[in-house]
Amino acid sequence: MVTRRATAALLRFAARRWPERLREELLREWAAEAHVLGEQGRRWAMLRYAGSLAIARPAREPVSALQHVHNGWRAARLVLLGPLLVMLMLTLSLKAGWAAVGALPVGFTAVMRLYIPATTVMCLLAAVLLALVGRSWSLPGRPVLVLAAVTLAPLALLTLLEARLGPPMQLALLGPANAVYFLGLALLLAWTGSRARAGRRRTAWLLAVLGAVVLADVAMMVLILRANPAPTPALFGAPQWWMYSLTGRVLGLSNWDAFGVGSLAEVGTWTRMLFTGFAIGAALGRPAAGASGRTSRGLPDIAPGRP
Amino acid sequence: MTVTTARVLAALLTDPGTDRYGLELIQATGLASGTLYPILHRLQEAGWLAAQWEDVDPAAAGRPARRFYRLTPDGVESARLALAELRRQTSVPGSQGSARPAW
Repeated sequence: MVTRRATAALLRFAARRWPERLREELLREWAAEAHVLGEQGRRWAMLRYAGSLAIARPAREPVSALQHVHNGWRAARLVLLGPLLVMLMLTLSLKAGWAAVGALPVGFTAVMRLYIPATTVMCLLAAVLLALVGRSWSLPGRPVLVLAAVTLAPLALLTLLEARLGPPMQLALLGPANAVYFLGLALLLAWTGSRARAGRRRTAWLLAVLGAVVLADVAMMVLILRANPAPTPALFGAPQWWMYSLTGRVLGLSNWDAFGVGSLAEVGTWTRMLFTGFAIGAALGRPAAGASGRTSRGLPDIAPGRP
Repeated sequence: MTVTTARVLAALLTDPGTDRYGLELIQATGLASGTLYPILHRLQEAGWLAAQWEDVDPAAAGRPARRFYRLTPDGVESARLALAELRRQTSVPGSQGSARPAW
């Protein structure tokens, strides 16, 4: 049983390294041959057969110089242009939130109270827009590159910005929260991405959004607890800290705790929200051409005695 | 042409009218699966080799359908020429009595 499962996993891995248009047929063929070896009781030969395919250099489609340039541009767009676009959208959202509230015929106190929720709405709209952009910029068939581009690149950019432009200690405060968030997001999107590639796209999107909410909450806790403001905010209110940073409503927190959370959260919550929109769009966005659930998840049975 | 490709072609040419499964070719050539399938793919792309799925009912047979390979008529001709050329290039001038290959 173990060798069959290992064989199936190796064959799936091997197939993913071949050009997309060939994967499904190759996987079927290899699984059929492995089935024959399994039926003959040649477990190690079956494993060797799959292992050799998994480590061998697969056939490559001939790629023209123009196609190389095109592929390079698409990767650069995702890795380099994506984070810059997110930062631009963040700036515009902050300005739009301020402009929207400033246009209301209300007093200064009301403006200050409405600024945070208004900006959150603008950032949510921007995140949706960025999800659409991420979806169209996605690189089907290259999930590892996409994951790195939408999680590690933003983490690197934010770390750089905080180190170079932020006040002293900014990186020490925000760095761990960002690291927890983006590394967690990478794991979350790796998991939901595999579900999306298996054809469960809607569930994958839902799980990714819910998972990102949990991660954002955890990142906020890491930030506040690491900053350790005096007096220390009551821990039972920790799950509300993130929601407070989005709404500006105290939601049962003491005013002092709310002040401490608000002064530490700053724009970090919105920044992560926008990066997340782009990341989810790119990681779960488009199915690979010709991909199907069978190629990525299922495998024609290699167990002896079963069709 | 590489030696491994020549070995695959030689195995296919021993009986060009017979369908061969991947495992059969692995046994005939002694190549690892990871070496064989890229070669089969390149030969198919070149039009030398045709692949077909076995016409079998998996439920009745108790196993999935396998894919078999056969040289195309052009492939037979081209493979013979390529192997003959390879043999000519690798033969030692003046040597005699070398065994006649299967093709």
